[in-house]
Order: sequence, then structure tokens, then C-alpha cells
Amino acid sequence: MELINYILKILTFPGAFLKAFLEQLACRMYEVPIEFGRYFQKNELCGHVEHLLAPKKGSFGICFLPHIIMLFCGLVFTIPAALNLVYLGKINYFGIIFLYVGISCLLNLFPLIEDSLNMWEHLYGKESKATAISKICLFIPTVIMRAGSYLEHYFVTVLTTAAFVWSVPYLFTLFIK
Amino acid sequence: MAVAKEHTPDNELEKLIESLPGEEIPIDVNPDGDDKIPLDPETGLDPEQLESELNDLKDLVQGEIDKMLEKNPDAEWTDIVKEAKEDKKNRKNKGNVKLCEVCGENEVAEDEQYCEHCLDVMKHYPFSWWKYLIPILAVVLIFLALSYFAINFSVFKGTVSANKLIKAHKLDSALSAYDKLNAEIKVTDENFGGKYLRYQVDLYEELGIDHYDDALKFIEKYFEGSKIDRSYNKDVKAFRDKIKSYEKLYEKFNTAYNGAASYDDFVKEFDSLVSVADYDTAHILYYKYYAANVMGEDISVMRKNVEEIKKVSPESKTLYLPLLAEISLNEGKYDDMVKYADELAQVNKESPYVALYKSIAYRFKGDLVKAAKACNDGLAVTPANSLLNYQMGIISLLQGKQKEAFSFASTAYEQADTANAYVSAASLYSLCAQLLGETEVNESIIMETSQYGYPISDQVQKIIDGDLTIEDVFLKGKGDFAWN
Repeated sequence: MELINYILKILTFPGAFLKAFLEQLACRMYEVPIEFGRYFQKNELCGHVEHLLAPKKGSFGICFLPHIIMLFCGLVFTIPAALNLVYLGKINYFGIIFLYVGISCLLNLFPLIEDSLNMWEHLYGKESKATAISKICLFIPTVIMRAGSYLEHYFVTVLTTAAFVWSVPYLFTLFIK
Repeated sequence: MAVAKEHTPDNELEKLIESLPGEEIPIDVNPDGDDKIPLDPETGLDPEQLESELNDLKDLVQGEIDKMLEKNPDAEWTDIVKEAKEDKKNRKNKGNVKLCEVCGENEVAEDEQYCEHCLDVMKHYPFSWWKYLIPILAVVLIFLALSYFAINFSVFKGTVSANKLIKAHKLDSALSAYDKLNAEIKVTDENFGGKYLRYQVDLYEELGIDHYDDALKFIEKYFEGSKIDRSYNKDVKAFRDKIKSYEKLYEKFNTAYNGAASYDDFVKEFDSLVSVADYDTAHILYYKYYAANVMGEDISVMRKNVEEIKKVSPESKTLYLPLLAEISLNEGKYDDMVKYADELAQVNKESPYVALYKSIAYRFKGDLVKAAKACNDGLAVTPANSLLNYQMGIISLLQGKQKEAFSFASTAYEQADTANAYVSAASLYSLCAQLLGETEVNESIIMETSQYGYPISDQVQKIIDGDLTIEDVFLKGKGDFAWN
């Protein structure tokens, strides 16, 4: 599993680097101590930075901030490439590069399972001190990130990303007359 | 030992030595001046070795004492001894103290790993210089991706719109949309996507034989050279070969038709010239239908050929449905004409034959309103179509709108693209001109048609003379199709 994860991170290194950078940035923003700042390690932490579990203040932020930026980057790169490559069959260097970078971003979208569980505990655990408004407003993104962390851990996001790339042009056609 | 005696009383030294770790070494009890230690006959110890070890120990102790004195030069000897004992005690206990995992110096609680100082450093873990390139590259790529999207979106949008027109069975509008897009792409980057071109080839296939010339030009332009031989373009190549074989078949048809005295002779000669393996069967049957039509064969022969086309090539609706409608018109089965026109509309709503056959059927059924509506629907798509303008001219004439009829007849005459359409339009145009007193126009029509060797129908003059009414010609019997 670790070997497959490592190989996948190598293959999607643009997304892995960006994700790890954003995680490190989020850790600094929320003052979460980082134990080891190397982005590529031959273990399950490959593509992430090794840090202590975040306290209440940063538990949601260090999961959500990298996730939302990676999602934005993934969509920005994938959509134009998919429209041209998949729907029009137009092959050029830009399209291929953007598709590759976009897919690598989408395959490095979610936090580690430990971080997502930590976030969940701080928000909805027995000893949670989160307000009701926070719990309601953050429920959907929290569930998405928690589910996504498992999907990414077991490489299911490879399939979901492929399906997204294939279907996004046809989704766009629904909004064009 | 002499050194030890310089600094401490004997009992203090003994106590110090007792407190040091390791074996107890017996103190030299020999009288002064006697440096040699006798070899103990019981233990067998070498006196020289023993002396050497004792000297080493002496140096060690002296070194430790010197260190302590350096630390605290004014300390009393008792304080130094106390401190030495404390150090010894601490060395024994030191294995149970937890130290920071990073610095290894500061003590931390049992349940912690890092000291405060190290935690503070870890909270501000620095970025290596090269990591700053990551966000910079990301921003640059985002900018490029958004530009790429903006540049190419119009082509994508246009293609989606054109494909939606195809799904709505508006094939002519889809073709116009693609023509515009092709011109736009030619100006921007000339990169025509493979699937984009395939959509158009599929469109031409659906449009049928009426667009074979345009289809061939399109394929030769965008699939030039070895591109058409690539495995993923094999369908395009097959379609191109089909069009070319259709054109070759026309030459065979001409050869067989020119030498044939009857339809049966034609069929015999035609079958000897073509083989089913080299040519599309539907095309072969189509030419047989055409020969039967021009040679005046019975309707049943024509119907047989067309039904055979439907059987061998059910997907070629744009080929056999207009022929079936034509046969139904000859048989006077106007409801069937409408039925076939509606079936054709499910393939291409904008085909002129849909409006044409509906208009004729409703006209002969006496429903001029529906006939006019059907014709206008067709003219909305192809306003310059000669046949539709001709039909609308007839309907206007029947409705008493002579000026409108004149206008439609004029367009039909100018846009006529076949001999039959030209002759019919010329006759109608001449009739309308005479009814409106446009003598000069009428004279120019007669002169032009004479030059081409096509006389105006004699029924025009009969209408003008009052021997026939407009209704007699256009509503009864075979209608305007008999006036050539």
C-alpha cells in the first residue's frame, strides 16, 4: 500500500508538491508544530508534512485550506483541458500539460485520515467545544473531507478523477443552448 | 600518593578514595623511601603493574579535583568532596529523566516529546528556498489555464450548439454552424480536433446523397494525405470511398442508359457493368429507380426498387423517403406523402423535401392554409430554395395573391438548379407576368428558355386565353406536374 502510494505521489508530483506546500503553510498559519518538513517520504506520509495533531483552532483549517485550493487548481487546470481533449479531440502541448497537472491536483485533494479524524473529533467529538453554528456550517465540508481522506487512502480517487475528466465536458453541455 | 598527601590529610583522602567507584586499591603501607611494592606471594600481583595503575588513578583523581577547584577556587575541601558525592549520585539517577527528542538537553514531562523551545521552533518550520517556486509556478499555470480556457471556449460552445441542433434534427442549421466554426478556427490556430471533424463527417453522412459533393470536399480538405489512412479514421475513409463509388456509378449509369432501348435492356447492361461488391447496393437500386422514372416505367417497378433500398439500407432514410413520397404523389396517395414527410422530418426537420411534399399533399387535398404553412416553414430555413418558392408561388396564385406569386415565381426561376425545376419555374413565372401585365418580363423569359431549348408549357397560354382555370391546372389531376 505504501509503495503504491509512493509511486502515485511520484507520478502526480506537481499536485503532491503543491499539497504538501499548502499543508506546511497552513501549519504555520495555525502554529501547528511540524516535526519533519520533507515532502516525499517512503511511507504513508508521502505528499504530506509530518506534524503534530492540530489543536481545536487549526484542526479544520489545516484540512480545509489545502483542500479548497487544490480543488480550485484541479478544476482550473482540468476543465479547459478536458473540454478540448475529451470533447473536441484537440491535442496540443498545453492541453496535455494542463490535464496532467489538473489530474495530479485532483489526486492530492484530501487530508490524511488522522487529520480528518482529528478535525472530526474537535468538531463533533464527545469533548468538542465547537459552537452549534460551527457544527452546522462546517458539517458538509467536514463530511466531504473525511470521506475523501479514506477514498484517497485507498486510491478510489483515481477512478473518481477519471470519471470527472470524462464527464465534465458533457456537464458543461447542459448549460449551453 | 605523595601528591595526595600534599593536599589532604590521610583520613580525608581515604574517605575520598572510598567514595570513588571501582575496586578499592590498598594504600601503600610501606615505610617512606621504600618505593618498591613487594609481590604478594598469595595473589601474585606484579608490583610494577600495580604501581602503574595506582599512578593512573592518582592522575584521574587529581584531574577531577583540579576541575572542581577551577569551578570554585575558593571552595573548601569538604565542599568539593560533597559536590563530588552529589555528582556521583546524579550520575546514577540520570537514566530516569526524559529529555527533549529534538535538542536532547531540556527535560520534558513523561507525556511530552518536545521542550517549549523546540516546539516554538517547530511552529515556525522554515521553507526551503526551492519550495517558494511551487506557488509561483502554480499561479503562472493558473493564469495560462484561464487564458487557454477563454481562447478555446467559443469553439467548444459552438460545437455543443451545433451538436444540439443535430439532436434536434436541424441538420442544415447544424451544417451552417459548423461552417462558421471552421472559418473561425482557421483564423485562430488551425488546430481542428479529431472529434470535432468526426462530428461533421457524421453529419454529412446523415444528410445523404444531396450533400455528397460538399462531404467529399470536406474530407479531402481536412483529412488530406496519410491522415485518412490512420486506423481511427477508418470510418471516414469508408465514407469517402462510398461517395467516390457513387460518382463512378453515375458514369456506369450513363453508359448503360445511353445504349438501352428499354428499361429491361438498361437493367441488363447496368448489372453487367457494376458488381455489388464494388458499389453500394442502395445506390445501384437508386439509379435503377431513376432510370425507371425517366423511361416511363410503371409505378410498381419504381416502388419495387425503392422498397428494396429500404430493405438493404434502412438507415438511408434521406434517400428512400423522398422517393416513396414521390411515388405516393404519382399514385394520388396524399396521406402517405404526409406520412413519409413526417418520417423524414425525424431525421432532418430542415430538409426541403419535408416542406415540399407536405405542401403538395395539402394543396391536392384542397387545404391551402396547411399547404402555405408547410411551405413557409421550409422557406424559413432555405429561403432561396427553388422548389419551395415554386410551390409558394402556386399557392399564392390559388389564393389570388398574384403579386406575391410573381415574386415567388421570380425567385424559383432564378434559383432553379435542375432542368425540371427550371422549366416549371419558367412556366409559372411567365403565367404570373402575363396575369400582372408584365409584358417585358414575359418576353425575356420566353427568349431565355428558347435559348436553352426549353419551351414554356402550353397550358400557360390556355389559362391566359380562359380555356383552363388556375384550379384546373394546379388542383386537379396530376396538377402542375403534367404541364411540361
